[in-house]
Amino acid sequence: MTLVWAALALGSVYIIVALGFNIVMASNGLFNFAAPQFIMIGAFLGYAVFTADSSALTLTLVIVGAGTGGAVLGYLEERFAVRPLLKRGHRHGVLVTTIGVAVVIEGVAFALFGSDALPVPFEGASTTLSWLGGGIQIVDVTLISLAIVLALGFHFASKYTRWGLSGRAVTADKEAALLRGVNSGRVSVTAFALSGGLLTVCGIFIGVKLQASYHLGTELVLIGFVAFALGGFGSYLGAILGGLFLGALQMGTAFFLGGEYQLLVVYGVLLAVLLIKPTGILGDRRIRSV
Amino acid sequence: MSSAPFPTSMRFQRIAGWISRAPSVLPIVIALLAILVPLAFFGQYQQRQVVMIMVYTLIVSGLNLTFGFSGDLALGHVAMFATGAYVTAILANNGVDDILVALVCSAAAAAVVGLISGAPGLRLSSWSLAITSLFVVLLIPRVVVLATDLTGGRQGLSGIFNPTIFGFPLKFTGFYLLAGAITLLWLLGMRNFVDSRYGRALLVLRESRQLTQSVGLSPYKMRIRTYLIGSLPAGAAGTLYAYLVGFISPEAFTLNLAIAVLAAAVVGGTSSVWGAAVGSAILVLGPLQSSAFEQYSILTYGIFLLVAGLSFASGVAGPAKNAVRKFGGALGKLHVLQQARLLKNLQPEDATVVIPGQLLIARGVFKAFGGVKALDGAAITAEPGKITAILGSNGAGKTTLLNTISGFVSPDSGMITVGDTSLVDLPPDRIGQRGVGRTFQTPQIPHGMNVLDVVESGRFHQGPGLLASIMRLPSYREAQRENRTVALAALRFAGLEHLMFESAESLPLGTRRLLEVVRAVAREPNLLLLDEPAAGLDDVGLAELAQLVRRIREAGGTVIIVEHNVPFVMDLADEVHVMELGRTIASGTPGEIANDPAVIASYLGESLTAQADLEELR
Repeated sequence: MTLVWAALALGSVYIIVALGFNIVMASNGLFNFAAPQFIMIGAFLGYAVFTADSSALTLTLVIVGAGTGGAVLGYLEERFAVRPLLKRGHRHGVLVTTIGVAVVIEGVAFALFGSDALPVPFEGASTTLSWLGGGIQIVDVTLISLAIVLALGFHFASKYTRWGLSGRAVTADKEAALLRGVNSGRVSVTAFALSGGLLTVCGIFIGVKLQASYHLGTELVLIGFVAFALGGFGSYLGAILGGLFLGALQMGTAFFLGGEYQLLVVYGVLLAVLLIKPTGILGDRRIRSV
Repeated sequence: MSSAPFPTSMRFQRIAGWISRAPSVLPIVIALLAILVPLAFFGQYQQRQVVMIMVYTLIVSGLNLTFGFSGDLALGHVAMFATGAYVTAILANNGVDDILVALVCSAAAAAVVGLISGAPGLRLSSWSLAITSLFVVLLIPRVVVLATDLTGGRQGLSGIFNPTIFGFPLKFTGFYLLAGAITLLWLLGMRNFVDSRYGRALLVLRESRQLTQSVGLSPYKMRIRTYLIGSLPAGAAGTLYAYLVGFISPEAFTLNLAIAVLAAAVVGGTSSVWGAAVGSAILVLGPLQSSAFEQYSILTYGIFLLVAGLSFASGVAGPAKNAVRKFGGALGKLHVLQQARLLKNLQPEDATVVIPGQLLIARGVFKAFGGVKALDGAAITAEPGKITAILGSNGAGKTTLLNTISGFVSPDSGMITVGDTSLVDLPPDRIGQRGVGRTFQTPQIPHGMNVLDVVESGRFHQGPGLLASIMRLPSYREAQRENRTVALAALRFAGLEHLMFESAESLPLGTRRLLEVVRAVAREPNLLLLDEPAAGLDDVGLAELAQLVRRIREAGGTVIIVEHNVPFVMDLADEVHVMELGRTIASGTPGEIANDPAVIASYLGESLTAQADLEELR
């Protein structure tokens, strides 16, 4: 059972990453390579604050600060690294600049904190509870609930809020959406800011679980993408499915074959999914031609 | 073009011919100098640096081919590079030290890595290749450690020295020259590839996927082919690197290197052949040089990517290209000279274009989109030497029918044949190959092509083979000339040859429409589909279009026109099919259609202007 809890906890990290990709993709069809770097920022933020003082009050303050800061960074990314290229119709240049943003964030973290992974100390986070015959840490419980609540929230938001519907209209047919008065620029910038803010907040908790290292974002980008691809581009429920499957796959591989095979197996799954059903299990066909 | 703006004495022509080659010869001269000058004047340390630049040039240009030319971002060329290095090291440790053997094996192994990451990655859009290929780089240390017996694991492999060539030992100077030769030959091969129908087809692909398929090319195959070709130099670079350094370990092949390579590519200009060398030189002489810089290395690459990515147009090679062009202009109408040389090789006088029209039959075609029956048993016939029109109001299913014929929509049931071939269930590119040419409602003219190029692109599904194109064999020149000649004949057929060197994208709408038709004619089609060709044309444009379509009919072509403009069609067509709600409700000559009660009642009756049009015709 401990293994199942561990798989769920790891899976919830991937759900969060896939969610970050999906918020942007479902609003403008773009792949934001830099999304997982916001998690890394959150992790280092947690490290910097909690090494000084870790109490419930600071936690609230840090969450608010991280949310705001992450949203501002997300906004800046859209404004300066994405929009200028979209205006000139260079959709495939956007990938280069979002990679550029990712590498800049990683580079700053490397210059500030060096290459060692740093633990994010939060008192009580690693207290182990015993549930259904297996041990699970408080931080894992937090992550699992956070991931599922957020993904479901976005699923419904995309169906019922103005922002979610506008995003779906823009990805389905941009010109038609514009003619109907959808402000595609605002939808897009909202998506970047939302995903930036949320991932930075989640990053604090992920940092407590996985430690803060400059490499965290780049590692998550790849496995998070597999979760994203597996669940289906454009689908929030798919993100939950893909994340959970990958958590199980990783823990299962580590348990039965050994940790050194983890990435190879994940890669095999990614190749298989792309070959057999390139849009993922719950994917939206229309996003294919982006 | 008959009135060449320069004197035609033999001597002058020879000189002019030489000058016109300057843009292609100049980079080669500079490259030769860059290879030979360090050999003559610098010490071995600098010479090793030059080899390092060559190594990165090979990797970066492999990336350029995929990213700059076919538009798919790949980040895995470092993995192909690593594969080549490990193959070389393992061969050397097992007594195989012939460097040519190592080069071939490395390139082949790199292509396998390319196939594994590319075949799934390219199924989707360009960013999924970025991930599947970047992932391979992350796997390098894992795989190396899992195969420790072979690869030496984290300790790495040493003992890679004293290469031989045909059994003779290769000294450093020989190695240096070999590396230079390989790099130069690769860049020339790449230039030839880019300039061949395979490379130019990529320009078509960038404009539109549908257009690419309609000229008989498979986008997926094109992208895979380009990616695999780009993996070869990265593998070869691995061999050179292994023999240059003598020792390899997984630490040499990191994600950071992948990012550095991308930065070098973007700085040098991704859609440039020679820019790779510039970007690599900056990389090797700059960031990779100093160790003090290490703390900020990642940040620097990131900033490079951001800045270069934002000024995306064409990196440093863009301004350089412009400068060369201006310089060429100063040399005296360089373009005119090049064009004159091209024409001299063509001998357009004996050029002809054949339009072997075949019979099209479509029967009982059904297609539903959700609950909407777009086609509900539509049936049409089109004969060679006749112009067949499909009329109908919006939503009648005209364009859907056209799209089922050209394969973009697959019918739920029904039969469609051209000649003896059934088109049902064939993908659009196979239908294009089979001889079905088409035009689009909005003319699709690729950027950066002149009129002759655009017309020639209609024939890109056939012509010189890949190897012949890369090596510029005589068979390439032969086939290339044939394609050009027919393209020119098609232009002449339409009376547009005076425009052949104009920039195609800046032509007025009517001319672009004609150009689309000519592109389809150059393909010598068995069936020609025109999708609302008259939309937005003025009277002059309409007259020119009608004239061209009539000429195609006289030449024996089978033409199907989908149109809204009733008078235009009634005047032009030999056979008219009228569609309503996915069904064909009437077929016959324009005269019969104009008097058909069903047509008047159900379709034309709706609109007073259309009825007035009909009255006028009667």
